[in-house]
Amino acid sequence: MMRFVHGIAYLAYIGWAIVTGSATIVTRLFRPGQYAQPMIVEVPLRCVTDLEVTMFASSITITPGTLVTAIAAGTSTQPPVLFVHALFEDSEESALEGLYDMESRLLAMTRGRAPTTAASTVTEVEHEEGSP
Amino acid sequence: MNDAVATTLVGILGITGSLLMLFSAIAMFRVRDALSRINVFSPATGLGMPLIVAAAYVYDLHSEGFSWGSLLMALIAVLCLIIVSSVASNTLSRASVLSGQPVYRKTAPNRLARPPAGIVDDDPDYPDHPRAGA
Amino acid sequence: MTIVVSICIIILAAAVIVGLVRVLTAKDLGSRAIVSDLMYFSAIGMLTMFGILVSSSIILDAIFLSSMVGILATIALSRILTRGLR
Repeated sequence: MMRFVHGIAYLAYIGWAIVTGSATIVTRLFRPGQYAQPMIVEVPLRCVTDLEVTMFASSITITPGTLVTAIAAGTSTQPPVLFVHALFEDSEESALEGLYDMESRLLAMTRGRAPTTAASTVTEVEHEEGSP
Repeated sequence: MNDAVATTLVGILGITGSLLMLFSAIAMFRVRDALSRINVFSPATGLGMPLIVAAAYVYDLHSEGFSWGSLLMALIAVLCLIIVSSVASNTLSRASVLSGQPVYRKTAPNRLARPPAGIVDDDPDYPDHPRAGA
Repeated sequence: MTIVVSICIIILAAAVIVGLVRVLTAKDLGSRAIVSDLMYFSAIGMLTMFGILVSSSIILDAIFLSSMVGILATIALSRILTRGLR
């Protein structure tokens, strides 16, 4: 039952994100100066199953302004990693914050409750393990 | 539904959707590389085409009356447009990266960048252990 | 009804023309692939608007089928870009 409520909320969130992202792309068009600041950020995932990863990648891509360019498969020690191309974010931190917000809503839909582990701890562990 | 309401609804929905297609076509001139072009293409299929489908459904409702078949068809068309265009954009961006299409040089930070083969990659954090060319 | 549908067709035709200019001036193949995708969807919109213009009764069927097979052109282009690799 809670999954159903979270699913409706997630669909409404995606619809609102599509509308606001389209408005951003159109209004930036009539503003002089630099149009966009492209960046490619690395997002370690908390999603585990194939369904969650696929739905999260599709949700990122359908939102205007963000695009999945590559997916690295997870191993036993590292989570799966998405490489996301973002156009209109100010910095890497704000891009990651928006993406983790979307991921929390998605996991609340598929698991029935919001994930307990915070996103920041996952990234910290990932960076420590990932450094050579 | 009388004629004026149907015309107004078709006009609002259709013209908004068409303008979104045109604006995302113009936005392709403002960005510099293929990945950004795939990125600014998503308003056209995510919002523009569903609005055009809505205009067609309103016209169908006006001319032939309500039926569950046409409502189901319009809903499945909108869902297919959103899901299919998302998967298609994923596939095309992945192909664009894999085939080595140029990425705009001001893309920063670029976490996907790898040094080309044959270049010694000195890691600034570990100056004593340079990784010899990949 | 005729006037608003004609305005829609003109806007979509302008989108197709802008896309054609972009194809001619683009240098890399990925841009050409995505612009051809845009032109496909603009053509579907124009087809729908022409159907409304001539009071056709199968516009929903046409847009339903073309929205489902729209992925095939994109996937074919991406396979061409990677020379057949997945």
